[in-house]
Amino acid sequence: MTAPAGAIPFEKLFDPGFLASLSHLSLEVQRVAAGGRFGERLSRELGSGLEFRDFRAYSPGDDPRAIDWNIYRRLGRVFVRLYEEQQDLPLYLLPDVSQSMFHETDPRAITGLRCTLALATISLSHHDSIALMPFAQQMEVRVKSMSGKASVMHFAQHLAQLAPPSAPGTNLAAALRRVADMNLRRGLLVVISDFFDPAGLAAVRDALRGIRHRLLFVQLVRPSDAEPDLDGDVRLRDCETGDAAEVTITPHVRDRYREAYATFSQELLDLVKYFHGGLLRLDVEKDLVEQLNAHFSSGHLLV
Amino acid sequence: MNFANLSVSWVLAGLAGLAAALFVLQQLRTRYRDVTVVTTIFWKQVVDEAPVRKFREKFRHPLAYALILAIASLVWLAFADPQLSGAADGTRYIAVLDGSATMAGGNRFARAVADLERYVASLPADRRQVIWSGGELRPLLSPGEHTLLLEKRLSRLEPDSAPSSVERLIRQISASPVAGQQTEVVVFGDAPVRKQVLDLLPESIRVTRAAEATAAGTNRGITALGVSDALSGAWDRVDVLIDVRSGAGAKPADVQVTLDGKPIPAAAISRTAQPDGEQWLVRDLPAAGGLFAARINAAAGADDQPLDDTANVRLPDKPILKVQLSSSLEADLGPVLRADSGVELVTSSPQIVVRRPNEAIGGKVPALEFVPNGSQQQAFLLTHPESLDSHDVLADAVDRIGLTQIDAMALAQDAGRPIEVSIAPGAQWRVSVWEDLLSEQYNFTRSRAFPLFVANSLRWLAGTPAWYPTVGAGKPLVPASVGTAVRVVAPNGRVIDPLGAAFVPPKAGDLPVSIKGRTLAVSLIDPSVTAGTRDASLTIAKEAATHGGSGAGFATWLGLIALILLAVEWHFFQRGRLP
Repeated sequence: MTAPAGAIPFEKLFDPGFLASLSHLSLEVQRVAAGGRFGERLSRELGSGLEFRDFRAYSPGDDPRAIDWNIYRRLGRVFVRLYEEQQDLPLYLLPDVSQSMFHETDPRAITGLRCTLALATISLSHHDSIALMPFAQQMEVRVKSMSGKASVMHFAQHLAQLAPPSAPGTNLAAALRRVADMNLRRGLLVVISDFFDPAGLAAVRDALRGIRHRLLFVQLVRPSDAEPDLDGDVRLRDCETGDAAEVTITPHVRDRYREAYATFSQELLDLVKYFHGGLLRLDVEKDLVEQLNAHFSSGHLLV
Repeated sequence: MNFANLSVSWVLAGLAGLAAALFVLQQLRTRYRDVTVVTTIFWKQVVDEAPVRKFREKFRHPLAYALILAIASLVWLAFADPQLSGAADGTRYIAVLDGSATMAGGNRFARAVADLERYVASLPADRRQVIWSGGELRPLLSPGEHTLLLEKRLSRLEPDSAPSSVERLIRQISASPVAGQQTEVVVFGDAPVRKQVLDLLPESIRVTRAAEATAAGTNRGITALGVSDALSGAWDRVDVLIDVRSGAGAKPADVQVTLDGKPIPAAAISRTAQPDGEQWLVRDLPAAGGLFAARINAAAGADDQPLDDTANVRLPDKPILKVQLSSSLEADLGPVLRADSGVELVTSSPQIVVRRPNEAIGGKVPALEFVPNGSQQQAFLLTHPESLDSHDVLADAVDRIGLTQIDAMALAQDAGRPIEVSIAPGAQWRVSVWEDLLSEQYNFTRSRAFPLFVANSLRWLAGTPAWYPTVGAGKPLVPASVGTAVRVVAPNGRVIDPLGAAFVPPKAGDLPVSIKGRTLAVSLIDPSVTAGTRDASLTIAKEAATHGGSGAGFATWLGLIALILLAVEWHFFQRGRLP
């Protein structure tokens, strides 16, 4: 399979040691939505599982095998036993593949796609299903559903095919709206991005209102985002849109930049909290595995 | 207010130029460095606080412009060095620095300079003036000039080998008092100022001395050096007289004498003791224009005044004139010419011819002619080449020929008509005289003026240069002989001694003259310098004046304010409040 121009080389994404180090990590959501395949996650649906959970009054259509005859004998009323049903966790991975992710010498896309692969590997190892929907100005469904541990390599090849689109810009809000419109089974929606969306977080907030999935935002940052190494009179050109901003950078202007970036970071965190999601902030200049280990210190990342 | 370094117009022009230049700089487009970044969304939020200067766009930073203009203007004004007029008592201050030879001994000059600098710094700049009073009088600091200029000018100065000119300066100042303005003259140095000079000062001028004159030390020096005709009677020889004065307690001076650098044999020297020194007479030196030098041997002991230890004089050049005499005049002029040791009578190739008109001797050489009374109206008629100006020639000739020595009144009575002198251009140099003046009717040939007239006329006709028996700094040049006047010239050849006025050499050294390759040797030979003459006529200034404000302080304050504003600008710039 030939990689398109701009794509990350396959070798950079696949490192056996890296994959092995992720094997003991897992993702957990508080409750898996009903209607999925049998898996290792607790489902909201009470069904044919092995673990007893509750009783409820019999209603027509219930499986007669679930009737607890002991209670009937003692109380004279018919109750059925309810069991926890083990189902899989649909994982919807939305990596940002806009041009900003591929811009710098050490592009954020490397960390972003490796993180995507890591999360996918974890999910697949827990018999969860995964979907890959990269986005930039528009979203594209590359993998609608994939499961099974053996699918890791296949999924990785999909990632290796991702490249920045020719159309400039990033539109996360549009991607989220499309996800909402797809009426997918409830699962965990993971957005891996720098979140430098010209439309701003307000548009993302509006788009998230239509999302029924649990949320995990993976923010890819680097130190120069908060502390730009710039001085003097510069014409800053956006790598995606080409928009230019002419700035004379003084200590005061730099302070104002820091304030703006800090505000953005806080707003992103508030946004995620508002939707009861999680935020994973990864420094692209640090080792990804170490950072994931820190976040998965208990072996589980609870979202 | 005035400015020490710039005129008011220059200051204003500079301020306008600065304002214009800074205005343009404020509007110049900034040359940006292009940087591609992953996003500009955060920069756009703060871009309003970053300046974007574009030429001919709206003037965006008037306050920043005002601040930088204020800084630049303050620096410019500090450079211009404004001078504030102090308390308006209007007194004019003239500091006189004595640069005469008197100041050469010890550390007198350095002390006077230090006192002067302190004094001048305390004076209002617009009413102070410093004058150098050495061999020449010249300003060292004009009103309004900065004291830095004075320091620079003083650093190149040292006392001249010249007598004091302070009295001359005081006379000049007193001759031009400013109406309604007091003038305070302070003398820095030991120059003597006599009471009679001070008595002539108007009330508006007060002269004091900055400090007590330094007591003169033990000194020896040459106080006179003169040349005279040789007592031996030889025309082409001269004698030189040297007067050496030794102060009390000084050892007798040992003088080395040389002619053109070669020692003179002791046999030619005779010494005569004097009450305060010694006279040296050097006999029969060749009168061939050589340079005679006398130097006191420094090894003789302590000497307070070094500049009077040497003296030079240029010996005269006295050639013997070859004169051809007409036989018709032998009886009247032969004895006179033969008595002149500087004249040799020849029968051919003469330099000068003495004849009657129409006698075919001498050709076109300069001639002394005795003409019939009826042939010319004037008793004496001088003829000169047409290239020269008659007035100049006549003015020179009247003195050189000695016509003033002739008793014209007696001649006029004898002749029954006026005795006139006239001049006219002609083909050759000639002195035409009535021949009747040689007759018994007139007493001219038996007068004392006759041989002098003949001798002077011959030398004037021959162009023999006049010579000077003594040439001293500060003393008028007085020629000792007849002949063509020697003119003092500047290095560029311009004659600087006006006709009819005796030139006064300002200081010791070589004095260029109009004869090519020839200089006059000027010596100090001033008895008052050698004797260390002091006087107590001048009162001592109590203390340096403290008038008004010196401009230097004001300029410093301007500079300090500019620095403070610069710090303010830097502060705001660091905080991003300034572009």
